[in-house]
Amino acid sequence: MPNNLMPPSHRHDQTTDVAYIIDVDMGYGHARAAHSLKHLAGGQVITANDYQGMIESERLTWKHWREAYETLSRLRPIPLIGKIAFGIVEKAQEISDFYPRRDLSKPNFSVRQVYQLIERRGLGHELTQRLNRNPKPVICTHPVPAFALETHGYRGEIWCVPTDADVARAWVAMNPKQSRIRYCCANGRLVERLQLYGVPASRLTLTGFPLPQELIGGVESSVLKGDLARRLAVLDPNGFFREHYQYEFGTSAERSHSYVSAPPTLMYCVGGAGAQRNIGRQLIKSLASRLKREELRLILVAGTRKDVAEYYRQVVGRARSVEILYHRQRADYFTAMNRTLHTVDILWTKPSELSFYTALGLPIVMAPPLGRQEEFNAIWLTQVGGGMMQGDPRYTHEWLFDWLNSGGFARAAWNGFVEAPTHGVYRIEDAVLGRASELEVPPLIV
Amino acid sequence: MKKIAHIVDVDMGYGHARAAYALKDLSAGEIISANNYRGIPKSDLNMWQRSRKAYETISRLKPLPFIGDLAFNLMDEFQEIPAFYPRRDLSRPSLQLRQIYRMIDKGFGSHLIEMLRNEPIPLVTTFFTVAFMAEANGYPGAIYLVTTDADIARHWAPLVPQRSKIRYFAANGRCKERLMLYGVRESQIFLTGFPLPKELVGGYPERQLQKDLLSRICNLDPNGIFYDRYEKTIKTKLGPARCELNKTHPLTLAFSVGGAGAQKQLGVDVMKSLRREIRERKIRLALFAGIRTNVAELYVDAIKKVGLERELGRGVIVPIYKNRHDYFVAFSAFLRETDLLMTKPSELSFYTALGLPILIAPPIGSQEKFNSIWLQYVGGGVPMGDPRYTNEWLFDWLNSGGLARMAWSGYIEAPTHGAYRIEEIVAGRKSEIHPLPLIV
Repeated sequence: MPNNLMPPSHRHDQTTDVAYIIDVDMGYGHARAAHSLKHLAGGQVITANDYQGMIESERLTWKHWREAYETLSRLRPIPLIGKIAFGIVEKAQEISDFYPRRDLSKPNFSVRQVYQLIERRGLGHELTQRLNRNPKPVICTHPVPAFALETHGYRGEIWCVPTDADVARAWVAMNPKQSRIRYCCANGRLVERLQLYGVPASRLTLTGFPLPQELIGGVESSVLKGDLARRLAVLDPNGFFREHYQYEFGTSAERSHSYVSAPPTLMYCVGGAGAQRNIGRQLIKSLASRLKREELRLILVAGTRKDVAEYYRQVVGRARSVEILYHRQRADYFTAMNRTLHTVDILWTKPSELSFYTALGLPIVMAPPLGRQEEFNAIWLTQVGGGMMQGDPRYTHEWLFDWLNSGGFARAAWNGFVEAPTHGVYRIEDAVLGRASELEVPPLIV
Repeated sequence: MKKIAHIVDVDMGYGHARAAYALKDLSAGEIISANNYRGIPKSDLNMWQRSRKAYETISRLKPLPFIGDLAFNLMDEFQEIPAFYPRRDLSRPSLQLRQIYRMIDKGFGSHLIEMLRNEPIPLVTTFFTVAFMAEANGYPGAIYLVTTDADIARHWAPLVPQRSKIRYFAANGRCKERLMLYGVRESQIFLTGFPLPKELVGGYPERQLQKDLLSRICNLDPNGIFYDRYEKTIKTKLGPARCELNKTHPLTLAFSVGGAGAQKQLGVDVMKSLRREIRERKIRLALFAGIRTNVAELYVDAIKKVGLERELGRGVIVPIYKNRHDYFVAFSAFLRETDLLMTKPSELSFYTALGLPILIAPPIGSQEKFNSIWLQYVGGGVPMGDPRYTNEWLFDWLNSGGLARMAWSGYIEAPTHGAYRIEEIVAGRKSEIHPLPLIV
């Protein structure tokens, strides 16, 4: 929440085609961040492992690298072998304890392996040549394209946007002190962590995660404040929260009083793997009567997975007040999700990159984290006060409404808005364009 | 204030006694310990001692590998608090509760109740067995029971809760709802909040608390990050923070965890980690040993070993008291110049309502796990980091304004006026204090 805006010396709604945005097709995290930044590249995102005109050998190298991890992860349920296989994956993604602060710059197996692919098998070489025809700053939301561009001699600036609240050594180049990759960090802990990995402070900018502009509404957060005002009225049906913080709200509070409390909208966005689907089924069952009485609106996010959408359709049947969000293309899915989020009051998600969405004034109900980085996201979200761990999904109809009635969700929405950085997308734009930002520097919240 | 009630606690840990201490005005300062009062019959004394010894022995075994965990888990099983959801009838008495009533049927506690009957004013107790004794022995006055955790086991409600006349002072909303699942009628439950020492609250409105909190925020927000964000609210509720005037003490951490083995070590590790900051006067550390001289001695030895001898009594303090009353009085006084409280999530969790951020040491037992959840839910506490690196994480949290935010959340979200609400209900006065929302 910017308190001390400097007079604007530039606009943020006219920047276009000043950079390349590169993501990879691997989960939603990297792509979601890239989608928020695509206006800087004229609306184009280059997917490093799947772009038009990509040469086949490069596509195969990416595929093998990705499949190696996926195969190891899939072996997980097999006794003994699965444990060993998953141990390898875990090791590659390991995030060591932060304290005591110490030198963690030594490259791990995962970094060395990636550099072998880049140096010996030419991963990213073709892409580098292609971009070198018209070098502009490049913003990567995955570390491997950034490493590849640097290694193959890209002539423009290289920026990297990590997508979690704490990251593994795999996000930093083999030789971090000599590397020229710059980082836009989502939070304070990340700035500090990357320094432990050997990145000089001069190449780190604390920006916040890039959230969709259409949900913020400029440096003044006009859209966000409007959405939050409406949301607070919904999330605080008994007015407990607004009574405590009425002095602080200013316009948001005044506006929230003009809204009539309406049934809340819950978005369930957890993923499509077996156990997660099952949670979805349990919560639909638990909320059946509430939905029937229109005490709640439920949006089930299937993302780009048709099988998940089908599954939800079967489970939902003719239930009222339920919508399923599904699109074949990632870009369409992100656009639709961002549009829908205006109306969402509670976001139920794994503590993935969506944790940062609490900065939009969204309270997060956290599903159990998967992997070390999600565990750290969960800690961050708890510290910021924007999220809480889910209750037993079978009894969602009870705990969800208890939390709602006591004003707890309203408090989490407010904490997220106040404590988590909202303007990442604008700060990244300013940093990449090398201009002074009118936005305050976010404090180094750990 | 003239005596209008009997206040009865037990001498068993600090939880029940701390709540009773905060209510001492009701009894003109007199607190009766049910297991340790003048004239207690030998048979009752033995009975209390047996159960206390069993509890303390098992607690002390806890740090031992395997056996300790086994014994503790077994005891914890008896005291288990079942999952709250789905809401269902949980009124069936537990094994432990039946055992308590069997003892009462055999005369356990009848002497105490006979003694109190001479002056049949309301009886306010902080220990469930005493309330059951009073009811079973036909105590003629009103019987009130104060809950001392954020969630409680079945043995806090009587054998046949539907017919019981015991009235409850619930520390939080979840406690009230839990008692109802156990079968206690809603009309018998008052949601008051945990009774905090009145000298730390300062009436209604809470003037003393506000003054202390303002001074605390100055210490907890060295970079003004929190103040910038909540300036309007702070100014409206507490007045302008002029830290050069409001600052009354150096940044102070009070460690109050208990005397069992692993917990003592925790205190020592924290002290060792902070030794440089203590020497440089960046922080003052108070290691509270309560009335346990042996624990205090251990702390003092450890302080000498790390070369902080010259700081004893200044940068690092190890207060020790002759009795519980002296300890509670002094602890209250010290809290006024304390900025951070490091404790197990015991009854001290409720002290976050005084605007004290709580650094939560690992919980022991079901009820402490629930206290920890409650504390994090209200935003007044956070699990402590590795004690060996306290000098790093503590100052990181401090510099980012996070601890000031916790102090504020505790003050705003947790109930502050428990002692006053209880006083007014017992006195039969209409309360001018706002009713508490049913925060879960």
